[in-house]
Amino acid sequence: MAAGRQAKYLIGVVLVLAVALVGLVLFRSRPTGEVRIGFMGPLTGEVGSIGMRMKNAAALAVDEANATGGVAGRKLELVSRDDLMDPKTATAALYGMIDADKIACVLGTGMSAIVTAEASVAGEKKIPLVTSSATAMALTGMNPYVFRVIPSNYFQAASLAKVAWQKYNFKRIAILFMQDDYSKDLKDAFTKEYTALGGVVTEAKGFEPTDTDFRVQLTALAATRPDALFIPAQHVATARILLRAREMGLRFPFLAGETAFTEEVLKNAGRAAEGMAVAGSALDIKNPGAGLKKFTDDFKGKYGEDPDAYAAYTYDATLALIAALKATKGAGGVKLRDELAKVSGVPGVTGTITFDKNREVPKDYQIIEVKAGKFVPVQ
Amino acid sequence: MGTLILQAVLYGLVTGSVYALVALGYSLIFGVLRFINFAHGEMMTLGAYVTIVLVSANVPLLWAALAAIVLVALFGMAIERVVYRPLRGMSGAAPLLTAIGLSVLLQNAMALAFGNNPRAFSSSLSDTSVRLLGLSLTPLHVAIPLVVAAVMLVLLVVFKRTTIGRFVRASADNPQLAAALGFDVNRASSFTFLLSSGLAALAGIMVAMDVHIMMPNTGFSFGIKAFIATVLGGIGSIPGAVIGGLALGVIENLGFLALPSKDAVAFIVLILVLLIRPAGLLKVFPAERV
Repeated sequence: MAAGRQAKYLIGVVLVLAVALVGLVLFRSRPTGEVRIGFMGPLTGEVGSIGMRMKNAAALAVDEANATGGVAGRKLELVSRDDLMDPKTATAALYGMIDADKIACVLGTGMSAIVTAEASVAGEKKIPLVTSSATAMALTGMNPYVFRVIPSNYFQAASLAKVAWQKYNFKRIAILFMQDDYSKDLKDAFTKEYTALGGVVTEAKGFEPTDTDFRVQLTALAATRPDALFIPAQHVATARILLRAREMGLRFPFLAGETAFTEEVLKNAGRAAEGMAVAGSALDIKNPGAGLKKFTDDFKGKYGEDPDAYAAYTYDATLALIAALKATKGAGGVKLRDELAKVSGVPGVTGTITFDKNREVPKDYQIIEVKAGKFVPVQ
Repeated sequence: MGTLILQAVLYGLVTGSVYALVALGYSLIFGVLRFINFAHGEMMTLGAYVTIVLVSANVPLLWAALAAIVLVALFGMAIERVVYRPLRGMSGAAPLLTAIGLSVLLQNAMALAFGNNPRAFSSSLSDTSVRLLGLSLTPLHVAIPLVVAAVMLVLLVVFKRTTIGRFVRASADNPQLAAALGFDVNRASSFTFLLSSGLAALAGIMVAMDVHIMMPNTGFSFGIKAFIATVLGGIGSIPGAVIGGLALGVIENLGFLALPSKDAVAFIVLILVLLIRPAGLLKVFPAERV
């Protein structure tokens, strides 16, 4: 009996050693194998379909790079994790990808709050992060490892402020904003830019996302006698406000952000939307240029559906990473960060990618006006 | 500033009278069945959606609204029969949790049936406004309080003078005793749900016309406010529901002139009531822990 037990014990030890050895060999082989790009995004849940398109767009860029020889003779590999739209999950998954998968860099494609959490991990671990989805202004200059290809909320607010002051000649503007991070960003950036130009923000009033009334705010704001009302909000609330203001007999013109640039607003608000000016998308996916057209066709051919703007920005984020990885011959960390900061003139599908000193790609927004129930670009 | 306050009070009374209609439903159901029907707001949404669908099929507004009210009233009665009646006599948590679950279920069912996209609903009653003493008013602003006042008067008569009204009041007062005296508690409870759901549907239709755009969760957010109004007025009391509704509508708007969030004002009211006078302004039931 004793001998049998000893034999079993020995077999056990050998097995453990064998597994450990195999693990060690696999682990050691990693750095010399593929160059890994991490992908963090919402792959399930409410926005899962958007997340999957972003992942597919990144995979498309990686496959195309591999078809032309990869990076310094090494293949690229995309490693993806679901952020479950939860900052804690995202943080844990990103630590896992950095420590176990040895990723060289990461694409952050979640909501702003999630990418902000990922960005602090990226800064701590010195892993460059490029976001193609988060537009919160708080990310600007957060740490030197954060890059962004999608324009931050600042750019649409700045374009709106410029048009309000120069084209429409509004001297006084009141603001009615939704109490969420996105709308507050727009309110703050607009206020800063518009007052810098010489305009006066007469008053800013907020409302909860559940609010459907707006009468008290509109009455108070109308009393400040503005030339126009700026409404940073989600599109349903925007339509409700337009209808409410017209019902109350308030005749001043309206300005709104990119969220109001949707047919839904025209359908819901009807005549009340007439004359409103909105920030159009920085990316005109319905009238694509040559690069965007090719990307749209390739994407559709491979995945059977049309890409959206987020997918296009993710494709470009991946192109920027690949360009920098080519310069570092696949190395990550500080080297990659420095090369990424130098990326300039890379022809992307959303425009030319050149990072500015904030490691962002500045974009002007086309301002669009509602005329006879249709969106018409302002000349 | 004077006009601003006057306008805030006036708008508060309009919203408040709709709160009152919904609060009445919470109160009646609590009276007979001793639980808060958190799926009550969904009856509002359903009433609004049915009306919107009928109106877009070219049914005149009045007929569409009547059809919706009858349909939702019957639906409410069916829910009482199928969902809540088997739970009667169980501890407070079972019907409460069932109501919350039913609310989620109905919201999602309506999202499936009517779509998750906003549905616009405008009528000639709320498209234009007149200016009166520096205030702007739509015909709907005048119609809502009048309709609510008329409904309340009819209800007072129903509860004081009719047999079924006495049934409901007796059951609310003491269900065991009412049953022992030969009152049919099942009938009282069916009638309560029929009535409450119909009132909620009416409220939902007026809200949809007033806020112009419906979403599957519009009734839910509104229902929570009406619940606060119920607690404020004193749960189980018909005049309490009216006073609570109107008071909350006005307090919300006035508080909002000073505070940044309207919802915050409503919840501060709820907290204060629970701290200072947990049975509400018009005390009917002793304060109860739910």
